[in-house]
Amino acid sequence: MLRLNDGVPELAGPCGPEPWYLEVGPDEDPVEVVSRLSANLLGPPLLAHSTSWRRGRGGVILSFIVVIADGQAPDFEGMPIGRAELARNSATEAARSIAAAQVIEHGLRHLSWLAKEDQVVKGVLSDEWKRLLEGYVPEPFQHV
Amino acid sequence: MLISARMGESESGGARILVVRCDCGFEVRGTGDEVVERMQDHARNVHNMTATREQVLDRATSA
Repeated sequence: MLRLNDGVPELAGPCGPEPWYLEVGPDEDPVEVVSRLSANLLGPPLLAHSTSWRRGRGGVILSFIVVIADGQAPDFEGMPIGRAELARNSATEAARSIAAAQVIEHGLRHLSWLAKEDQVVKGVLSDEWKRLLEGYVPEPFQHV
Repeated sequence: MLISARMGESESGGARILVVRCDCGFEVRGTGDEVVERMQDHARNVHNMTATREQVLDRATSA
């Protein structure tokens, strides 16, 4: 869950600086679950987009970037996001260890690409977001 | 019987205060019934999960 605070991207949400894990049932749509719970707890998001996957916690974890408006959900403490190296492996294997900061870095690079290529994303992100994302190297398909 | 033991009922019949902590850092404390209800609400509303009474109490420690 990302928002801008004085031009600085920060991670915010019901779990504070910890990753926010949601369980998705076999008959549920992950995007719908993410969007619904985000809206219930923080108000309607500007954007909810899946950016990567990895194995963990006995299953497959889908990572989502959810962008909310600046100043939205002020009751939830935010933590500034720093830069990180991406988790990498060979051309045919996923990275063996992936830290939360690397998931966020990858998500922001993906968002950077979307902000240039996707008219809907381009339309919902503020100019401030788009300027910030120019600093992230577009990397849409990490595992391809 | 397992649940009763997990609730930490004292010999005098009064209920102990329990603490249950979610992986995300959310923490509740109270009697067995209170922590179960509040943690089940948290699991459902924040994590889209269904937590059984046994699952909640299995994480409980005495306050």
